[in-house]
Amino acid sequence: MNIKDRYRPYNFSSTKCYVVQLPFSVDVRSGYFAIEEKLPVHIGKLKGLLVTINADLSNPVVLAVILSFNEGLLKNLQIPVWHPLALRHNSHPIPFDEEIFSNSIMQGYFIVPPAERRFDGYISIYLHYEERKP
Amino acid sequence: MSLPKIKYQQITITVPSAGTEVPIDADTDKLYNRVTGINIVMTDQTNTFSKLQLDINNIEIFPENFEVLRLLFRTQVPFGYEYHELNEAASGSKVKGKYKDVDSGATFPYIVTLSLRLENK
Repeated sequence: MNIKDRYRPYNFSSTKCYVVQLPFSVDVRSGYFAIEEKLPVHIGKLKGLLVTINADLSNPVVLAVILSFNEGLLKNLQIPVWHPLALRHNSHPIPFDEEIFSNSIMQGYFIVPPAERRFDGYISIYLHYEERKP
Repeated sequence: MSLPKIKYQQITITVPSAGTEVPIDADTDKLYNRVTGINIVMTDQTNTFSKLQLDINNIEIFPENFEVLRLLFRTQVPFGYEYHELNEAASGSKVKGKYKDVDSGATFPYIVTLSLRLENK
């Protein structure tokens, strides 16, 4: 993607969107929050991914969320997540072009930022996709 | 007199208090056949984690739990890039959905304006 396309607003009609929203309440001693979510069967091909976190954070640029799809065959996607105040004009999901198995489970985790004692909020994972062809 | 080539149709809702869910129900202008863009303006941009669910012509554009922060532009957006692109049928299509406030400390009431860009293509 060249810089001109990067700043061109995203075409929300080009893909369908599904949002996985997971609340969390993690103590820094436990270290991480695990993500596990069964994806709807109509998600055929993932075209883009974007993650936001709604939490009261002291660190402006936050963390990386590690995700894997297709039972680990498509793994170790590190998705950067920015502080909500830094988030503006971020309509573009991270480009992605992968078939998703039916009944696939999205798995992953993020590590609690060391500056936080308790980390409460919710994570939203935006999956932009094309529908599965019959 | 001919029609303007582009029409910007505004749909305005008022959010009266924290946590309110406000329905959106409107029709697009019958004289334009495509919705080609959308922009969101809020009089108080504190509650950016509020959720916007929207269908145009019975096609889901923004699903449940879609946060409005994804649709807000930064202040120095380049000229001509101020609208997120859409390509949906207009000509009197139903615009239906809901706006659910997620309070982060905004002053109430505040106004949310959905601006649709309509064209004939």
